[in-house]
Amino acid sequence: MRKRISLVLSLVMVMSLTACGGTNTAENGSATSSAAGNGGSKEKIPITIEAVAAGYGEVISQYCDQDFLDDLGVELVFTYSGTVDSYSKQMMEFSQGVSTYDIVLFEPAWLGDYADHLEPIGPLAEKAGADLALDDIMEKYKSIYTTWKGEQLAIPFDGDQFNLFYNTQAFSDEENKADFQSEYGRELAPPKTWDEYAEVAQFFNGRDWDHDGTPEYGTSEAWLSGGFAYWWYMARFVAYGGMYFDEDMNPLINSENGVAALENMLKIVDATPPGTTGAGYTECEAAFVNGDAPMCICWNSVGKTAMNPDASQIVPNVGIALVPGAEVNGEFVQRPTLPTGWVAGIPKYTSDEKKELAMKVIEKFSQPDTALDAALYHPACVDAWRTSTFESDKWDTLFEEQGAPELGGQMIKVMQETIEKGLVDLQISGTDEYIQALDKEISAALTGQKEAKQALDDAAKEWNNITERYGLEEQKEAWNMEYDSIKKDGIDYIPFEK
Amino acid sequence: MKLKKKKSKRTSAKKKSYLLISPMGIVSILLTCLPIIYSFYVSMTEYNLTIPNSFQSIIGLKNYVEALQDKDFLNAVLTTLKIGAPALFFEIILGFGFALILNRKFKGRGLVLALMVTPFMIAPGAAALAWRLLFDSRYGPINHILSQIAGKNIVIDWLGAPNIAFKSLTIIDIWQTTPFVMLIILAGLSSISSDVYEAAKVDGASRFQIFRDITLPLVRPILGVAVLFRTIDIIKMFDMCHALTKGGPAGTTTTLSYYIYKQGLAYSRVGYGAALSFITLLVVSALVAIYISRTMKGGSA
Repeated sequence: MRKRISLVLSLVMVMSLTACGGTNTAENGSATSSAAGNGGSKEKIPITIEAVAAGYGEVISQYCDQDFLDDLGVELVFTYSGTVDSYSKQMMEFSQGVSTYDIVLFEPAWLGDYADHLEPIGPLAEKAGADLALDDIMEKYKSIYTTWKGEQLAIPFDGDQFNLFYNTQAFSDEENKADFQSEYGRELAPPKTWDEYAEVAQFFNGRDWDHDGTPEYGTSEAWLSGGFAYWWYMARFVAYGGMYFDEDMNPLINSENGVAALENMLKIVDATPPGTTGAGYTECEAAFVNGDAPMCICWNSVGKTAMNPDASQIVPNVGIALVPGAEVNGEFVQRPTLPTGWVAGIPKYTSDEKKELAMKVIEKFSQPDTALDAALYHPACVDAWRTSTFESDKWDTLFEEQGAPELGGQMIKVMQETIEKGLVDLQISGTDEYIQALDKEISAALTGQKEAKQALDDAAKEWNNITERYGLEEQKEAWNMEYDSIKKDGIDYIPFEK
Repeated sequence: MKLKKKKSKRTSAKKKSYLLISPMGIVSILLTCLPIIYSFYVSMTEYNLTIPNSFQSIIGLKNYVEALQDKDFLNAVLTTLKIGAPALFFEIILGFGFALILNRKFKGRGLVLALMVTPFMIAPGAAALAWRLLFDSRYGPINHILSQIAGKNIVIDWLGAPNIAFKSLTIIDIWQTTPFVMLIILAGLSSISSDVYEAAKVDGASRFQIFRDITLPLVRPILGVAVLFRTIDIIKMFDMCHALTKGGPAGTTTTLSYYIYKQGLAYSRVGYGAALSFITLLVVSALVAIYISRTMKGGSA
């Protein structure tokens, strides 16, 4: 009998250990902090903000100053759960009809999942008397990244995009120029197409292009599993005229456009620094700012870090260009991507009083002058999303002190063009699952475990399974809604001509 | 009559003691059983965070059938074994070795013990960050030291190469958990009476004979506990995978727990994730049951 009791007790203990283990670990990354006004004895109303990362919390804290918080009678409580966990935590609550958060920062890619749980911005702003300067938002961010079924549900916070950064010293060096000319029969210049990009990367790879006595690498990208490989593949796929699905929800990722994109990626595997298949944002940026790679395709913040003398060894030799385009059916296509980005929304499940206060907080940190200030100077590298930010002449003098007087102006021009020509992220339900499925197969191709076509076919098969699970009709409706907006924006699938 | 009174007194004292411990007992049972019952219910539903009312949609064993046909789930099991089995082997060997050394008295023993336990006390997130820097292909000290030793540039892609990344996770696991195994074995070793060793020495037993015929048999039960704890931990292996490789490259470091996490939380498939957890739970429970029944047999023999 005692043996049986011991057996049962041990089993129960083990069950509780294993059943609870995963959740505890997943939550290790989250943290909280608060910012409150200290004036007056009146009790403050806490407004909880899921800010994803501490840097974003700092941006909000900086612009929602003490006086403002005191006048409003609120204190800000921040939680930082990281990208993946913030999605699952918020969705877990939303699905039960509750929310700990009064303001949530989230990726526009999740809008399809979040739409039913967010308060429409317009009526709430009117009720709260908040002026969000909605006409001053770049059209794509307003009509696609924050709007679902005709209703605006969020306000942009960080307008992410990919750019091509290059080391101007490497490209202007006479020896490099002469050697490139003799090898490729054309002038060495920042690449305009992905084919040129691969050639330039191969040319620089293994070459001591900065004459420091050590050979360097050709270019820097980040292909870490969990989404990174996907973003760098999409940058090519979209440029080659690719599209996520056709109107009937058939995946187009394994089309000829997709194969061309992945094969282009494979061409530069040996021209990237070792460890690129396990590299994230930090490693990608480090290779460029440390002068180990003369080119880097990454989020815009790399440019600002590269011009920061405390963090970079290549100041002021930084150039910026649009992510390369591609020759498709004899025509040049310039189609960059706008990966991730962050927007702010208010959950439906917050009390009416808090909704209005939350709206006033959003109004405060999203004003045109704060959006400009954050885009220009904040170390969290929040990117531009307001029209007025792109029009500001402050960009012209941004890097003057560092000795690159023209870079700021070039940067904002490239950013504006990228938004105007760029393709938005997929926004339907299960977006992250589609991303991960494709990411895994791209990674398999990049590490030599599968042929490009085979990897993409396998990914397309998995995409069909995901679609089936979420319901073909529902996904088709959501996708076609997004696809219509994309087409209205002048972007469509370009099949390769036979 | 007196005997009867004594007996009834004893029974009422027993009843009282049960009554006194019952609140704690009930709370413990509720805390353990309710989440498990709830999880089991969830595993029988199509619960997906993005699909309204899916929590109420009961689909029976469909999730379990899907799990058994899920190739990625099977791959995650194999990956867990690939990372965990060598880790467990080396942790036991090294843990035993260190425990034997630290079981002796020598100057600075306390300091050595404290230093050796340090990796186990470091939070997994912080340890992951440190290892990310150590394993960096370009700037990491490991490649640098290897290059110095070999006298040529050695570049190992510790976290990005499919045939190496899982080995890197094994190395980290050995580094972090060997101290735990060592502590358990050390506790076992220190509970062995010195009289036993002295008697063996008087009988003329060699050091090897003492180890084989006295130390090993007496430490075996506690060694079993260490193996059991580590097996459960390996099945739950998540942190390093999440923080260092995100399950890649190409899914080659996606462990069982990480796969369950991805399905259940990252992909919002809570019902399916719960079913995967239950399958895992059954396997773990079976292992524990086997261990306990064997230990008991050993104990009664």
